[in-house]
Amino acid sequence: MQRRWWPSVFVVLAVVLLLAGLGTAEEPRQGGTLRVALRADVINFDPPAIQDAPTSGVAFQIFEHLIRRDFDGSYAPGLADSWEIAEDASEYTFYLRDDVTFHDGTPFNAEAVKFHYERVMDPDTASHTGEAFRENIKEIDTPDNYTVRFVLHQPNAAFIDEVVIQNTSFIASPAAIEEYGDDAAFNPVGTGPFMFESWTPDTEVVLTANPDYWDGAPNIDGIVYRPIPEAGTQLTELRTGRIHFMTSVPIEQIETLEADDDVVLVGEPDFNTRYLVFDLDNPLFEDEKVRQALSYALDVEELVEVFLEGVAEPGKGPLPNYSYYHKDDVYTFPYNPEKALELLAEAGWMQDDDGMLRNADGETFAFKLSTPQGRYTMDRELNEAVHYQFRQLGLDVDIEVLEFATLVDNLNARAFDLAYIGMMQRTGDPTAHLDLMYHTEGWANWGGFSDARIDELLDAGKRTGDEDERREVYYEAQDLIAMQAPTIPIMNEYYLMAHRAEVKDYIFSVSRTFDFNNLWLYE
Amino acid sequence: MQNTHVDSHAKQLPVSYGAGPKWLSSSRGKLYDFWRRFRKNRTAVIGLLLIAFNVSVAILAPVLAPYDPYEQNWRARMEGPSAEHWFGTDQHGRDQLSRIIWGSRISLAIGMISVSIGLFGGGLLGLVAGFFGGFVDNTIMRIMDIMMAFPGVLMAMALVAALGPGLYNVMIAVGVWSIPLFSRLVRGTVLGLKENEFVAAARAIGCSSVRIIFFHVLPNTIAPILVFSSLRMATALLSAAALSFLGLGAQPPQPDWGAMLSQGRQHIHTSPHLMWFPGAAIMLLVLAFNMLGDGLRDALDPRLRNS
Amino acid sequence: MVRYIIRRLVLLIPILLGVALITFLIMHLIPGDPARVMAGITASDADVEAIRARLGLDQPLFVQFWEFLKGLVQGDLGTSLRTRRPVALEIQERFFATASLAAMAIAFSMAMSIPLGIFAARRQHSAGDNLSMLAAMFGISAPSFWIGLILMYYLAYRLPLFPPSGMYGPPWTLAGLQSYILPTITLSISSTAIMARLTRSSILEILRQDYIRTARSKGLGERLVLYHHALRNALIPVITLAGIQLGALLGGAVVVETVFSWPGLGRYVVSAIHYRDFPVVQGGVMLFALCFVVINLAVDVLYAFVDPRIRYD
Repeated sequence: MQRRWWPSVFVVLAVVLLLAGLGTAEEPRQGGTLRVALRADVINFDPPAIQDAPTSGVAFQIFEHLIRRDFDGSYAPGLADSWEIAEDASEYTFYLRDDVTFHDGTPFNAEAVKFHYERVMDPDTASHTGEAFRENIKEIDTPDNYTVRFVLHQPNAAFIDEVVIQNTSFIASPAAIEEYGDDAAFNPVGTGPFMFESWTPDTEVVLTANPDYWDGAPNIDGIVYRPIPEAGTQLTELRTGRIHFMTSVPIEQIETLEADDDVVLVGEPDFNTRYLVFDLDNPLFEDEKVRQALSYALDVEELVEVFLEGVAEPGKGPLPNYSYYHKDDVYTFPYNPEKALELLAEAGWMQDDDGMLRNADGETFAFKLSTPQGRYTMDRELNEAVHYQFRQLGLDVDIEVLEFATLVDNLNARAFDLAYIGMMQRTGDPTAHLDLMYHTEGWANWGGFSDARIDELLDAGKRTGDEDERREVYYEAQDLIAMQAPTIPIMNEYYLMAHRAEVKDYIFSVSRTFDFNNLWLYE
Repeated sequence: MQNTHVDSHAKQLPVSYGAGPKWLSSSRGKLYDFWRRFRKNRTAVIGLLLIAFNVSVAILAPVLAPYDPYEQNWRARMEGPSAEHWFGTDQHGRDQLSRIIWGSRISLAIGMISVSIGLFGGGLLGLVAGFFGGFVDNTIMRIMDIMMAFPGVLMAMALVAALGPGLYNVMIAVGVWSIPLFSRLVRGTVLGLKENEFVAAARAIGCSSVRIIFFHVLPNTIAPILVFSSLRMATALLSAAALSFLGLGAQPPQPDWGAMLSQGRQHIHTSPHLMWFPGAAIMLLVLAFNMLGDGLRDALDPRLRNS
Repeated sequence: MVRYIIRRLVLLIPILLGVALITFLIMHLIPGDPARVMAGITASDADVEAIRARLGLDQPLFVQFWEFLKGLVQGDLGTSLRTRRPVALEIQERFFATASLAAMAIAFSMAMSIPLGIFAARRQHSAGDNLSMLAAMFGISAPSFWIGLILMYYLAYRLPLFPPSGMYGPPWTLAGLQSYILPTITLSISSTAIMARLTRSSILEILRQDYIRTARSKGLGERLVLYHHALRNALIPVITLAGIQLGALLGGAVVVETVFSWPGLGRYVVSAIHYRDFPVVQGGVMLFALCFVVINLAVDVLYAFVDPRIRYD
């Protein structure tokens, strides 16, 4: 399953070695406490309920998956030493380590794994991934104490990405779950390099090093996470040395940070897409030409360059640019306002003397552009610019800034015209992205896009484990989707983080997870 | 939030019970007297001038603004103050001075509309409660007590969340929130007046309740209402700004000062001008209404005449 | 007096019930489905349904309200939809931060405003009087979050004297106290200004009273007249105001809590509104309302004690 997909990437400012200090042959200093800022307070550490980024970031230090994602994006052994995948991708067998114990001293084994997965799948647990797990897993066998076999309902080449490395697949101690019951939320007991110590609401989460960690005890004594919602304040905390690590760098601060010798700025690609989605039931957007015209009307390259200052890449096609099988020369709509006007004219929209577009009945092209605020980097600013550019073309567009909860409600109720939304996946597997957004049955197919050929291709891609076959299928699907313009891809954000220069040897792996086991703090 | 000082003003209002309709009852002498006292009050005059300045800026915005407040220039973002852009440019490269000039229209509208909502809603309720007394009074005032007991910002936030974001909904939220204050004020005044001879006289000659309320009682409540409205304008502006700060309020690209400040705070390290100018604009307008309200009170309150 | 207090306490019940009902209605009018917010935008409809059923959100509204009231009587505020922990616990953990901040702010306001008011009153119409009253006017007029940002920029960033955010412990520890300073100042600015103005005008008014004239005519020194005879009475309205301000600051601290990432209840309720975490909003608003009415009652009672002219029957 080796896939080479991780390109060499740099962010404008600095090429950063992730294994900072590697090769300097310095002896790691022992001791010290790492202080990390969180964007929001943690919510609930019971694995079936873990969903938000702050909690999963902390949970990653406490819990482990059967398999982990290595720094180059490939799979690496975690709690499982090795694994086997059946030819037709319908059975997955994991061989577990036999030297692991949970933080409460109970042994880690096949029973614990089975117990965990069955708990997530139990409808009474009400996990948000319960349904997805139930759809995948038919049964879980434990042939011996250290072997777990998952038998699937039907072949799924993306099983590891869809299930095994999800937040809800963090393996927790069954003894602890039974002991704490509903209080498991704040008594997490895992196998990871750090152990949960305490949580003070809106103030801090304290973890201590696990001296018996199977991969060697951490160098530092512990980690303190502090929720600091305001990005500007996080930055002040970082620059004054009160925290070591922050993960929501306000991009307008990049220059300031670059000039600060005490701080290292890192940007890494991520598997997210930010895009505008059309409501295809809206008569305005029924015509493919109109959607293509609006795609041509936006100077996405310029927008992203100006407002994201080099920490995002303009979106290319329906997949994130770094996902597997992303087609580099996928069909796109380079900025071309003349072409946009031409297409609109073909669809019956002509500019009047004031430059407003009107149809034969004299109506303006009126619609709402909905965006959340503070949910995605520069979301409101970016859409203010999009709004401006659409207005320049003569579209009668109004902007609507919504609370995220309301926006999601509107999306589900199909009560929107054009909405800005983001999709974030822990994996670069195309199934996770395309099935959700462009399959007729997709849960996140808010615009109501439906194309028989694309459904066929997506189903085929999921049912085969053969790489070449999948590549072919997904290449075709990407072009087909892009040409019909059901969405306007805006960008893929980098994951931007900044830390004090004294922080050495941490590992950042795919999709916002940190390995702090080897980290040490320079005096 | 900043509505916290409302009560103190309410307590100091010139509700001179039993004093009768002195100042308005009309000889020109009284009005002149009021104007003379008002004019001598430096605070009030400065406040009035500041408001007049703001109003003229709002009216003359198309003439005064050096640039189109909506025109974006992505290559000239967040530039500090310069000869071309006196107040610098914002996140989209728009001229901040022009936006602040146009924004004065929005601010004045927020103040006036939300205070009007509080004034008419609360005024009517207070008038009815005070005039009829008894069960009506009790019912209305208990509801007002409930509204008073709500934590203001949270109530306004929930209202905006329910109504959807946007300037008008912010005005409604802020307006609703001042209804109990106005109703208490008006009720108190009416209660004081009701015992007065002129109301009894009106009743005696057979005037209807409605007629008494509108022609005899209402005019006499104008003085305290005027003072309170001015002060309330100030707090309404601050409340609206706070709601904008919490992410509710004006929709882009409207040049609302509160929203500008809220957006500008992200750039506090690199472009403090995005924080300074809109903040100062809010403060000056709020200051103007506070000064006017204070001055009016001093000029209208006979007890303070000699001080 | 006791009868009065009891009557007032009884009157609180319908008020609090009204608050509960209105909060409940507003929260259920707001668009946004808590089950969907919790499940995430990519969760399937079946999972969302399961969560909704578990939370009891599929029940009719009046049943939900009745359940809430039943819980309330038993001292049970329900369970947070988002964290699945008891609301009472969640609120209790954050209330201290808000209450202590408001208390600090009121203490600070009184310590600053009363001397300032006395100073201004004694030198009425002097430059010092005018200047301090002008400053107070600015204090009332400046948006508090703006002051907070400015303080943070200069005193936590340019000159890193204080932590820019967070609460580092209770105010009786050194680190804790340090972290209280900026939020306390920010929160107290407007109440300081209001109280200074009231102190001044109250003293001026008392000094015109007959008994002060009598005292003066007896040949007592101006200082003695002021501190011995005038001040006690002049401060009654100021103390009253301080009480009212405390109630208002509790509920109004949200903005300051946001600026300084303070782990307070106001900010928590705001985020609960965003997440449609109904039980938390409900419980939080109830607690704020309860504080507000109880403080007002306490102020009225206190008022009667300090001012012998007032009798409640």
